[in-house]
Amino acid sequence: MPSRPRVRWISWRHPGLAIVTVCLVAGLAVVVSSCSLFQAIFPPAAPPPRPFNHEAHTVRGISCVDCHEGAEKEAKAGMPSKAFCMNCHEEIDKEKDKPLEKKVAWFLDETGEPRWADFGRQKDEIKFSHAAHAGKTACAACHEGMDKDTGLVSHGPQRMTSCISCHQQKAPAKAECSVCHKTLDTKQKPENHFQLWTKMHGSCARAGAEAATANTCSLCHQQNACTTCHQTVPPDDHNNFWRIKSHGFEAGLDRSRCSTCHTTDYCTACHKVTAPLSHGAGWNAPRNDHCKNCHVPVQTSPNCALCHRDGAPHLTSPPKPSWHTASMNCSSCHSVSLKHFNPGDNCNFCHK
Amino acid sequence: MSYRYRATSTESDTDLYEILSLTYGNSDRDPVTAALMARLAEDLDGNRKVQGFYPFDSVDDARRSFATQRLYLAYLDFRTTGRELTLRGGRQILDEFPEAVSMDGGLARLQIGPRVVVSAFGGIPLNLFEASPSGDAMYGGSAEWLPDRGRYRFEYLHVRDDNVFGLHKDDLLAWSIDESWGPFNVHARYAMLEGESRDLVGRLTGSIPDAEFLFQAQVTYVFHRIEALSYPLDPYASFMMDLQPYLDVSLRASKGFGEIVTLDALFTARQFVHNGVETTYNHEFKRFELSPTIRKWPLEDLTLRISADYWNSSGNDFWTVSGDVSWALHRDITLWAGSSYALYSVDAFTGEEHERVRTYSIGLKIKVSKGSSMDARFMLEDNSIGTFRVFEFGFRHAF
Repeated sequence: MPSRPRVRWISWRHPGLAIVTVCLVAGLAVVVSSCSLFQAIFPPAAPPPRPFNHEAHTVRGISCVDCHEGAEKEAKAGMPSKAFCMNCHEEIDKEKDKPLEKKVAWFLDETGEPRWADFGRQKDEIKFSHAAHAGKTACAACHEGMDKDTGLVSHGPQRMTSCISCHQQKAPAKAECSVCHKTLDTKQKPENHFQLWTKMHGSCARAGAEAATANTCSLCHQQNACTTCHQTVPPDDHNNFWRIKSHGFEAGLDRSRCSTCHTTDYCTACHKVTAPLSHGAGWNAPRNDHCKNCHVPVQTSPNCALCHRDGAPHLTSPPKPSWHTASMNCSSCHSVSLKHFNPGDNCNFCHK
Repeated sequence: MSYRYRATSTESDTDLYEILSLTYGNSDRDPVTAALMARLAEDLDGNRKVQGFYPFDSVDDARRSFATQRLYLAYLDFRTTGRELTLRGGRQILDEFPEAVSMDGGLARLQIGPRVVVSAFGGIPLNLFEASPSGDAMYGGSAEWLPDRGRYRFEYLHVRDDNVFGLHKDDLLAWSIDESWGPFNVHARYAMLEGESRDLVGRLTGSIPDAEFLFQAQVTYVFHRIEALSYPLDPYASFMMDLQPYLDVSLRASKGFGEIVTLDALFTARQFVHNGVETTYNHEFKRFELSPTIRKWPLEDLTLRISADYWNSSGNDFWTVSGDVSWALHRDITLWAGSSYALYSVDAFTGEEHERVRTYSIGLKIKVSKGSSMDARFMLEDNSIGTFRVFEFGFRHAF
């Protein structure tokens, strides 16, 4: 019986073609992106804000609220205007040898006002008031390291985990979702929980994405929710035919799909105590040819030895040499010189 | 609790299942919390009387006892006031390792400052169907650094497992990186088994809610043939044997088109590398899946879901087309009906086989009270083995 040709979707042995393709695509992208029509549709992003040296100001005794005037009185801390900066810099910036990046002019945009970075900006869905935290929490408790920052690294918005950690200690009564969120609560699915999420949530939850995005599963889901669902809700394709016959086909293609739920010794346990489909009423009759399934060298039924390994031929099988380990690849040495037919089983079943 | 009756023209089986899932306390707030998840199954009509193949055999029925039980989770957590230290003892799942590992034992997790977390654990790996855990043990630990919007993690796991092949010891080391940039999450993990490179995984996940777009791209590279014979690291090795080295590329995407239509798509391709060879349970393949869902059309309370799944490999090809429609008759009552057709083209060693499976099902779900619901389902399945009829009735109460 001729075997089917192997599936070859990329020729990895000829990487030159892939490299040429990548170069062509990259070149095409450069040409297209430089044309005026492309730039009209996708206008280039504005240049990034200039890096600001906080430390240069704090070491001179300037506190956070001196520049961010709303930090103790209003919801938003606010950013200083040009006129505000010039209160001090009017004279300082007149120094002859002062480099441009230390002058207020360095930060001004085309309108003549400073264009500050806004890395800490939260989504509109978040409720936060600096005034409500004034006097209870130091600025550095949330803006950690900002007073020592010389180049305005991208600190990003505050992580929810740090908010929760502080609230649990200082304000345990204010730990509900509605304290910080305008609309989000445990009865409403997060934005990313739409259809495909059912097939992706595991990789996100297990791989630490929740730590990276602060989408902590336990905020809404109980501790045992994963196990409860994975052990009680079978996939749609687990019908009777799948249970009896076809699950082996799929497991042979992608066994990692099985491990989503079957994390223990399920295969061996079930196959050892249940008879396969081939073992029908006449299977063990004297004139039945069932023995050929194991003892004809065509590998029609691998794993016979899983159940039948206590038969006389298998019990008398010579043991492995002492320096052989169970994890060795037997076929790498014994594929040609095998003294019996190869039923496709694991050699360790008989040769202990 | 659920009741299930299954029958063919000659055989039948009746089972009852009870599932208990309990939690105590709030893990985000309380110093002491606990969780439990257990399942009890009863074979109501006694064990089978036939020898050889029986269409309703399962690992439960074959135990030759009226009832079987499985305890999946049973652990107690204790946290210090500042939540720096968490101690967990009992039956638990370590789900952040490359393989989710169940164990009976203890876990200590210590947070050092806002950005460093270390953990250590030890116990006996859980094999639900093994007669005795004698000779089994596992221990290990992890260290994490949590910068803004990310996580860097190192983990170690040692397993000692005495199973049907004898005593096996495996050591697993893994390094992983998670970073988040706006709507994108990047994950990369490199794992070593027994001092050799095991696999490398790279994954990019993106979620753009405004565009109703969700996607995930993943590349998995298995460096060498893997034959980890301890159950916790490969529960399938004893039956499916080794895993041949491969490169696997997977792309998933979901796009919503307004409130009515959502389209999910999946493409996966796997190819052997490093002289990987095809075996009974190792194949190269391509997989395509397309699943459109239509909601609120043509009726406000109607949802129509269709799914087509095609696997193309050098050994086995099969495809499935299924569809179901659910109708919310009332705020607390949902009626649904579905059908599926599957074709398995199996290139077995004796020739090509074609197996066709047709299923028809109908079900009803009723919310009885705030925490209680009941559901009933009937399925008719026609395949080469016979015609199966399955009736299930379940009741669920949350408190």
